[in-house]
Amino acid sequence: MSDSPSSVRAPGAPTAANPTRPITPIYVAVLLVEAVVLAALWSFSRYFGA
Amino acid sequence: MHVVDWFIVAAYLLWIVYTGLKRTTGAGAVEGYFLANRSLPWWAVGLTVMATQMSAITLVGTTGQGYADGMRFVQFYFGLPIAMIILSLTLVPFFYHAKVYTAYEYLERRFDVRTRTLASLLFLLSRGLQAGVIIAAPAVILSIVLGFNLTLTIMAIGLSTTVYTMFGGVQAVTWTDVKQMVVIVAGMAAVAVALVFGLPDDVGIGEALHVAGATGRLATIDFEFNLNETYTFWSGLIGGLFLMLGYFGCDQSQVQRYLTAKSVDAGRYSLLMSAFVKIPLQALILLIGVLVFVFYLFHAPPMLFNPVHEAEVHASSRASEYAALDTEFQDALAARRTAAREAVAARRTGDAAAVATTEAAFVVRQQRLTAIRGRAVSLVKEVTQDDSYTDVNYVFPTFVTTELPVGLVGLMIAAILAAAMSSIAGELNSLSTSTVIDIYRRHLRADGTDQHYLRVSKIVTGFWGLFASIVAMYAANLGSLIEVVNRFGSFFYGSLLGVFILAVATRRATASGALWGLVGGMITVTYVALTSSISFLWLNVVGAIAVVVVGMIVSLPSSVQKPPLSWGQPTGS
Repeated sequence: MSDSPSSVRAPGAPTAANPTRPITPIYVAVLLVEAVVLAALWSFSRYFGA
Repeated sequence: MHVVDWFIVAAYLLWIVYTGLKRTTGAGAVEGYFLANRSLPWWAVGLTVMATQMSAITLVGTTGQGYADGMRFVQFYFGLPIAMIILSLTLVPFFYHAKVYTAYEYLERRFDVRTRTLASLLFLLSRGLQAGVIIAAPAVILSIVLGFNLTLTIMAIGLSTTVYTMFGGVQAVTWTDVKQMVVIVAGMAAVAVALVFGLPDDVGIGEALHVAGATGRLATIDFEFNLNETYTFWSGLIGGLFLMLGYFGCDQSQVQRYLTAKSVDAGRYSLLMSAFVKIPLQALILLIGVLVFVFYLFHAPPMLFNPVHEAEVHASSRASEYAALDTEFQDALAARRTAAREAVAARRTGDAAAVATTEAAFVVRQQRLTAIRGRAVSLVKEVTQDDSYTDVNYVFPTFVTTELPVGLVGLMIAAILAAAMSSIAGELNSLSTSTVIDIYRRHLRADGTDQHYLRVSKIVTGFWGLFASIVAMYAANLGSLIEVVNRFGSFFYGSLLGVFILAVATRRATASGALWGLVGGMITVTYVALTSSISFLWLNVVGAIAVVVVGMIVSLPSSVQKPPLSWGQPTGS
């Protein structure tokens, strides 16, 4: 068994068949959703809290 | 348990084992066995990432935490979404393009075999013991609450999981995890609905939550910066960030999950699923614990939730003392119930002064009840000679088995088993991967055929399953061992993260720097943990920083400026 299980392409760079695409909008969405969730949690505790 | 609940639990176990064993045909070679030939869709990988992280300890411990302490624990996860973004940008594409089986395999390419071997041995030790604890915890709880035989419960959890993981490999792990996450979420949602409908007809859920809120249980965010306080916004955001980077980026049980994805983007999406879902899911689980507290405001809970220890006290010379405490507890319960109803009635009038007065009176009643429980716990500790005794982990299982309707009990027991088995399966598969790839193939037999390594992989999976089951039987009798094993994780993750920071972020770090940095990091964390009272979450930060500092200092004499890193190119030291 070789060290590189997928031995056809050279270890390393992205290929045309499997490019890495920027997914910046999803990262931004993650941060926005976290901010919204944190705000919701804070509001929830303020509303029901002592 | 009712026969219907037994049927549900048995059907669940058979369904999961069958689902796992069906995947045997996809595990005909080592890459298929360990990495599913890098073919899995992002949503399945995302669910298995979540299932591997969420053990039965999460399910029963977190609900118990919500019952006893409230929702502050949700802050523990505040760093997770940011950690997932960082990993999606760095280690996910890095590991994927490096075509490694294990995270530690990469460390040899970057540094040397010593660093790789040390890191993998630390992982094997930590995860191997953790797997035993993950089996032991729910087994102990279910055996006590339901009267199951402990050994048989451990075997049912440990060996059934081992069987399908051993024969089906990572495909079995993933597709059973998908189904187990469905069972877990369905169970929690059903319990939440049952809790809301379990309130008295004249008490609304909002009114009940206001009463719980008076005790501080609904406080979610604490902005105070206090290194000694475990659950604050800052410890969760910063300490939790480092913990999650270490766990999801450097622990093979998670790294292997996204290495099975069909592309780099699929690997990223699988982690980002947790980034979106994890905090709301944990908040729901904690809220269920708070709802159990609310439920018991209007129904009678036991004074202590662990019936075995309670029976020990009843059989001891201090039984009459315990009985007197119980009488006092029943009186305090009735007073608290009255106070809760008065607070609900005051809120209905809209009179702010009346609300404040009645809620303050309720808080006083709650504090009295808590004090009586504290005395009962002290009595149990003295009788049983167990200083670590706590019944928090038995609150939710006791509620499930005594208050839920037939059918729902079976579903929740199945959900607890699902949480345990999904974690164990992922850990067994990753333990086997690291053992075969990092130790056996690297050091003992480098010239084997693929079929040979496949056979060894299955045997090693079976070994780790048996090992974890045996550890579980001992761990069940050594409560403090669970704490020791969990604390070992907090010593380990930060330091290992530091090694990967040295590997990825700078070319100046040498192999000796990485090795001595790792040793120095763990020594520093141990020293800080023993000599200070800072929260364990901050130990991850301490470990990572210590490794980087020590590593860079050791690397200074021989470090040479090199071209920027490229994917997986062997570099040597």
